[in-house]
Amino acid sequence: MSAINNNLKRTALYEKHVALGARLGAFAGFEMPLWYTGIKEEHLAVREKVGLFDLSHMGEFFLKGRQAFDLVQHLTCNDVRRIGDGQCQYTLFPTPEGGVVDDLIVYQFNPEEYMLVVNASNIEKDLAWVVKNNTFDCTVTDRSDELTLVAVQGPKTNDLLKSFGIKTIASQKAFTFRRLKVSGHQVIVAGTGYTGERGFELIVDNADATWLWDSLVAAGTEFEAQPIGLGARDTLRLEMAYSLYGHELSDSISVLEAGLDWTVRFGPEFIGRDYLLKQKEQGLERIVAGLVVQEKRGAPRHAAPVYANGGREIGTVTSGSFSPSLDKGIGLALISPEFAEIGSQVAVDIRGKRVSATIVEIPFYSPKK
Amino acid sequence: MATFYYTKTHEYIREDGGEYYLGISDHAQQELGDITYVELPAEGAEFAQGDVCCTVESVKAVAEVYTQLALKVVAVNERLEDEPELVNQDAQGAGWLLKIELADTGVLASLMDQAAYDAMEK
Repeated sequence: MSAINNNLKRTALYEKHVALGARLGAFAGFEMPLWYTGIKEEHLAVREKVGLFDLSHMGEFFLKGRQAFDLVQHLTCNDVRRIGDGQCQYTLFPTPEGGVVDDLIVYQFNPEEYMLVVNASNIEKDLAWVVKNNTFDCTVTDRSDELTLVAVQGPKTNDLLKSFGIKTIASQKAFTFRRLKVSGHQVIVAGTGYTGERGFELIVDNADATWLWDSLVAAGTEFEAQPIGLGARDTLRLEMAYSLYGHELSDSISVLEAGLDWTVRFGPEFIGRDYLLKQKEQGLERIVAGLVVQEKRGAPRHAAPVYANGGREIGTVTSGSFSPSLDKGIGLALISPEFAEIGSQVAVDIRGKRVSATIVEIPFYSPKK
Repeated sequence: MATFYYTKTHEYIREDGGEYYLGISDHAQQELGDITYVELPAEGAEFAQGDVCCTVESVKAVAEVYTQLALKVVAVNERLEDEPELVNQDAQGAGWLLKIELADTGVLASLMDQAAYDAMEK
């Protein structure tokens, strides 16, 4: 159980995690911290204080050229015209059949220069997809292995980053980014995250990784900042009902079925547009909904069947876990829309037993403002 | 003083003044992480060697607890219903799962003692 495959990659902060006593595990081809002290404690630290996440396994592609905007728009379902320079946009790469190659965040330096941040598990597939569809005057550079990404998330984020050296952090809005010099080091500071809390993601060259981590840890001491593993990252995102590739997102689940219609703008042309437009007009046969297990009977888990009250199978759980904030089992499930109304009673399979669950509004949790 | 016997699948049987308790080892709770739910059998239930007698759920994982010996459940640890974290805090003490009766205590000799379990590759 403790033997880790030698073929796994490590981030530039690996030694830090080992020194912190992290429980390491394989994730997307990387040996990553799953937790340091415990998932529940780390989860609640992000909800109540502030946490630091090493997310350097994620992928970063840089697009540059006269037609960079056109390439990004061709590949993604959101309307890239809606963001300006220094702004970020959550979006997806749809397939021609409306499924999902990956979800990502687009960072616009200017209409001739972009950064795309993609999931670690999909870096190679995404790069091939972008290159294959690049019929534009634009170069694509994969810098995933050269960059370190540390997320700072939680209500004390502004205090921590001010102490770290970014005096103007409080006025930086979510989904904007800047290139700053902090203590002589070049840092991309982006108002993005995957927790629902106030937060930023900081990107530096690997050469500056330990400087960044150590400086954030030092700045965070007075705010009781703690390192957060991927376990809590998953429970935090699930409470916010944020989609995860391989769960709510896949090439066989459409962007609309995943409940991400708000990212789809039919104005511009993009790969998958025609399919998604037709699907929107025809209506959906399944949709992602949130369910809560009221009794203490454990948590629903990925791939578990969901049943209607009468007993008929109506779909499957895409993500499920114990929710540290709600102290209950929660899950996202891809089910028939007729059963997805708020308040509907369904049953979910938990270890072979049918347990009653209620369809609830998502997100499951609202961060304290 | 209590004596512990261990299985390769990280369960223990604790012998304490002629009484026997079954639980998961401290190593097992560390591997599982934060335990959020423990499913326990009914009192009086009987299990054969190799049966699943309990299920322990952590935030990220579900673990079946096997019994390597034939046993009868005398009592279950009712505190775990509201405090499953007891298994993390004190797996081999207050975090026991079942109080059991063994059909044949002689078979305990087939399990690992503390030294053998400590030496086992985990």
